[in-house]
Amino acid sequence: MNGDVYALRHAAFLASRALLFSWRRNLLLVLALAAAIALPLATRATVFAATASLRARAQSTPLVLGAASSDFDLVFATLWFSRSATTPTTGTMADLALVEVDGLALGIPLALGQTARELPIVGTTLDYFTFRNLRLARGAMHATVGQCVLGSDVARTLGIDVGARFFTDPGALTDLAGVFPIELEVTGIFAAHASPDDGAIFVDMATAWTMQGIGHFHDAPKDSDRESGAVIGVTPTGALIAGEALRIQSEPATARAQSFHFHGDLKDAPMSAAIVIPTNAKSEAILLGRFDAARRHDAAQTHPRLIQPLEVSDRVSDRIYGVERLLNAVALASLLATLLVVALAFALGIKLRADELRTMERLGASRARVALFLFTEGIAVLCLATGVALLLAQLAATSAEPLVRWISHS
Amino acid sequence: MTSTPPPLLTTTALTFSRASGFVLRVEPIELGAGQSLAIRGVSGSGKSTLLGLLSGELLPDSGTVAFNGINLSTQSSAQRRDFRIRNTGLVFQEFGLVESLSVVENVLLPFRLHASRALDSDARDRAHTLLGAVGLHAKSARLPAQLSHGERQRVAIARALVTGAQLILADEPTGNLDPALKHEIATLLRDIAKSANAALIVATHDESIIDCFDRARTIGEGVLR
Repeated sequence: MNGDVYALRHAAFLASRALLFSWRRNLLLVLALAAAIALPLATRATVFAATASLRARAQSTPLVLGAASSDFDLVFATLWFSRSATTPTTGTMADLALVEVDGLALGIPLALGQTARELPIVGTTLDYFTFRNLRLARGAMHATVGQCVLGSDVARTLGIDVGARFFTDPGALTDLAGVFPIELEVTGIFAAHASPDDGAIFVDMATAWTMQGIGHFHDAPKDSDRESGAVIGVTPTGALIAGEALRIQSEPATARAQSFHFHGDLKDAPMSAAIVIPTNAKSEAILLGRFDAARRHDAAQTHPRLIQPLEVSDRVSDRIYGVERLLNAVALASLLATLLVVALAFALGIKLRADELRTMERLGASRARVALFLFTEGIAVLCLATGVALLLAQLAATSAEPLVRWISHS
Repeated sequence: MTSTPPPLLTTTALTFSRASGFVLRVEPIELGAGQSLAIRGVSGSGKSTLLGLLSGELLPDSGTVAFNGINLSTQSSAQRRDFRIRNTGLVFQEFGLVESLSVVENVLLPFRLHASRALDSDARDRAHTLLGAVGLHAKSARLPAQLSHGERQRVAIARALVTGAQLILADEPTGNLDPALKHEIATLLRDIAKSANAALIVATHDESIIDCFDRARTIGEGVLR
């Protein structure tokens, strides 16, 4: 057998025996070293996965239309349904005309900000599902007011399926405008999509407006309801004026679709934001130019904004990279400190085994052979620590999606 | 005319001194193949130092140590180490067992430390045979920490014999054994050395085993007489 291979084989054998003999100490060394190595690796893996996830979602959304507010809030509320982002609600359905004019784009309205069991409710049109390529795993799409389709994670989290019913969350007690808790009926569950859509409850715009008190159900008031306070007067034209005692229905609309109605012009109905899909690149450039010009001449800065989510996500990614650089500096210092401690532990271990090593030399081992044996021990610890670190980094990478959620919610 | 074979080990007027002021003088030694010599002396008399000189681990201030006609005193450090690997089996006073290796792995350790010794099935068979001879075959998988002092010493003896060395140097090989075992182990050492045609030198302070060996000499007051 080749002498070098022979030496390596026996060095590996002796090292493995020594490592196993002091396995508790060596396990601690491996874990300490693994943690120190894993920190920068995990940071890199997580940041890479998180920024890739951010970018992928943003890249799949050409433009976002919304009321004048923070770019971050608008993008995170629209793409990730962030609840902590200030939900832009000052837009109206009429704003869609600004992007759909001349057939430049398709606008998909979104009504955001409502929740059920603290999960986001997204009011939108059927175009959204086509655009996002969301497919039903079971059931059917919602067909009328009061019905909803759940993202796959929502169905799993709530433990409900097609046919289930649940109430939306009420608004704050101090909110005089009121958010009507209505009962939603589940008509379908989307297949898993590996996107924020999995964590949302989808309703049509009419249902979203109903939750905002714009559309509702109630029994037709009769003159005989004066005593109960459901009718409090009559207009000059003879129409009855409903009072606060009029019973607003909250049961699913399917039973009383006929009695569902809106007050006011639906063009003025609120829209949190809209996803804008330009017809082509030229249309996109024209729209961006028009909105830019409009905002420059809008001293009050109230004109709706048209922004590119990718640009915003890249800005967020830049901030994440900044944090990563800081973490890497800390991790490097930590790694150096750990290496010093591990080296010290090794040195003490060698000192404790000085008699053994001396015996090896007296039995004929050269100093180089003894050094090779100790070096193999060190390399084995380093390799084990690196293996554990890679495993930890891999685990960390799988937590990138929660990180994106955390970023979008904070 | 028949010729007497040359002695395996010869020394001439060896002297060795330490910085502490200790000086050892060794009157000539001649030892042939298959012969055994006991060096008796009290602790600190220089027995271990003498074994160090004979194994080539220490260099004398004057005089020579020759093995098979090769003068170790003129050899380089690497050459003397090579000599130890190829020709000597050592039994240390403090056992010198590796705590992380099992009994049989300790016996086979010399094969793992130098490429000149092949760790083959013959070596393994010899190790198990020797462990059987010293009464430790049933404990061959145990760690040294699980053995008594006497058992550890017997492992050290088996390790010294496993390579079939031509010169066996044993430093207090029965120092930690039960009285009943001392004689048995000393006889075992002698017999194995004789059967292997090896020269055996045993340093001991135990008078009860002196008669197990062919010859005996005394070390005291810095002189081996």
